Amino acid sequence: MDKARDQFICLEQNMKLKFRRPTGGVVGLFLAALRDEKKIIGSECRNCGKVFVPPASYCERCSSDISALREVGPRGIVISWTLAPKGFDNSPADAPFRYIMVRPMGADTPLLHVSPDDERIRIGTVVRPVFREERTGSITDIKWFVPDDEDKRA
Amino acid sequence: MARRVGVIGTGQSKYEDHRNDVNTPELVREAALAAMSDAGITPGDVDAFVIAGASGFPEEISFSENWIGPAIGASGKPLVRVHAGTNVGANATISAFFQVASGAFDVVLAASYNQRTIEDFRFNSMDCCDPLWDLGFDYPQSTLAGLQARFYLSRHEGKITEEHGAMVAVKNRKNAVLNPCAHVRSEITVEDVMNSSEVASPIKVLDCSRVCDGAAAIVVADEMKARKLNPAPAWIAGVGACSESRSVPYVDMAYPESCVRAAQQAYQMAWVYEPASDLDTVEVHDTFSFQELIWCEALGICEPGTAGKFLELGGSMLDGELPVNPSGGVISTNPEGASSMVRQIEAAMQVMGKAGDHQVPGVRRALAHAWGGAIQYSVVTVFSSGL
Amino acid sequence: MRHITEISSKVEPVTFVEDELELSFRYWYGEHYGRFYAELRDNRRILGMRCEKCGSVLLPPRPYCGFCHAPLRTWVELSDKGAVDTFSIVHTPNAKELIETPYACAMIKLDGCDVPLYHLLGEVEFKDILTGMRVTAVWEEVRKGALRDIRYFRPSEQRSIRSD
Ligand SMILES: [Zn+2]
Ligand SMILES: [Zn+2]
Repeated sequence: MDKARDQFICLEQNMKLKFRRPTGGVVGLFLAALRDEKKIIGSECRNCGKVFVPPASYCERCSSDISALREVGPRGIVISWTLAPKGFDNSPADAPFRYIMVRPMGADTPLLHVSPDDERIRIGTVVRPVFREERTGSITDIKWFVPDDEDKRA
Repeated sequence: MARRVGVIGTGQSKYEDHRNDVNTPELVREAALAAMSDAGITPGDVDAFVIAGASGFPEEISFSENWIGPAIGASGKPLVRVHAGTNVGANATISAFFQVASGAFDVVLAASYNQRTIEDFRFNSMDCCDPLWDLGFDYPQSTLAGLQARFYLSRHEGKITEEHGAMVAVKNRKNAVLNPCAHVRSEITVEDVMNSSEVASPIKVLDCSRVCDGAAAIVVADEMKARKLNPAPAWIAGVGACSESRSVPYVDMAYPESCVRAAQQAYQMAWVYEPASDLDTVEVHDTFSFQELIWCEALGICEPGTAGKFLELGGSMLDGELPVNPSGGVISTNPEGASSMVRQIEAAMQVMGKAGDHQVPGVRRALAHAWGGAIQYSVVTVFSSGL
Repeated sequence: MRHITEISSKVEPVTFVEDELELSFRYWYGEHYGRFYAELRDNRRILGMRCEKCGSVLLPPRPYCGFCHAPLRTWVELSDKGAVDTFSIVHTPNAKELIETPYACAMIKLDGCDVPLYHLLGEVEFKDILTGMRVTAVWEEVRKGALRDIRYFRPSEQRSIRSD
């Protein structure tokens, strides 16, 4: 009987869930601007002056309502980075690649994104986004950020 | 000695079947800003925040408080999320109450919300039970309510009828017409309910609440701050919370022990000896019509089996001796994760005399009740106009 | 120094973000459930536990008493017959499981057990279902070690009521 019991070690359950989330107008504009205009949009708080990217309808520093949207970047500065040596399911880029925190010019907050595993990617490196041909209205419409001097080197 | 705590502001968002015009932080912000404005304060005046949503499942992300907090002014402040069944909003308020009563903070904001991101999501047995036991069957909340209603009807055969359930729905839908915040604001008749299609017998469509998206928020403060900010706060006179850590079948569905005990705790603290006469109005968590009757009995407002008679005689009507759900109750407005906090907000508003067209005259003490899980959780809060 | 320019263009906002998630869960049975389900599958036996402190006979089998929290050690075999405690005719489709609606479900108190078991009712007209009705388990031929190894409970025959 102990043997039979051993077959009941764990219960496995599989679940497939589909989500549909309203963006709210401001995030919706950010995503649409990536898709339709290849632009990065931030929100500026007219009370405390901070510029957030991605934008929000509220200021998370001083709680004011935000109504001013601004184009930021598209170039940005790398604030930090780490290496992703191995790929995984739905990996945002082919491994190896780097995750970067990039602060678009004119914004006060960094975005999390990816870059090639390029030794030139360091803290302080100026990078620019490479947009995909097919864009869907998602942060991944930017394929990745590359060093801004890439064209000159090539 | 714990400090006295008062409700100084309340806020509710607009309720709709789906709030597709805002994202979740924006939805919660709508209610939180309304509550702070009602209290005459700004986010800077709040010392700590509590967030509540009914479940992680319908929203994909597990740490929604991180997403929501910055939208309600919690950046740089203490922020916790509480987790329970649909009673979670009431637990958030109680958590805020303890934070102030203990002396840790002076002003705390509790917010709760519901925004479904899975199409047609229903809370199922698997969401609140023992997965190794109840996962064998995947039954929706309405099935549990059907079993509960039948159990209650058969225990009090001859005293409680299906029409009593219908009468609760009719009464509460009528009250909701007077409540500008309510989601469903149209009257129905007993025949409408009795002729509506069966969901899980004896529960019919019009015995059920209609789930909506929305948010609610409540600001509590210690006695000194409360008196300074609000000429007539609703003092939190008693709180009680009880769980029955058992799977569904262990619970006496017609007289849940968790509800009885939560009420006893709150009554003892609030000096309520005779609930029927010491309370001036109550808001109970009537997700399904019959539940109002069951809760009224477990709360000691009616003897077991007499809630039907009480209803027939008009005792629970808006102009009755003890109006039950003057706001229209959950059956008229069910933003699941926020519904239990809305009960508290409505009870507090009655005590503050701010309930408008559905104000019960001269309310000094009001009770808010909440249930959750598979009827294992109960929360009772008593608000009072005096200390 | 700021590179800020006013947004000049008008774009149509993206209103929804959609996502799909596939999750696999693993719950550990532990000794008590493991034995219960093995007996259900291999021997068509329903095992409960008796609390030596308060005398309750309990399902599901757990290491502690749901009523008085005393540790449980005594296994008892329960009957596969019992009585309907409460029931409902369900018209709402379930989220995951495809049981054809409408169907009848019930809380059934197995003989000798103090807590009811949730299960389905079969081989009965909905209008004939009553609380207190005697029912008997109908077992699946192929059993996997789950509560659904019992297909459903059907009304007990007249003679079995007498023999009960
Ligand atoms: Zn600001
Ligand atoms: Zn015991």
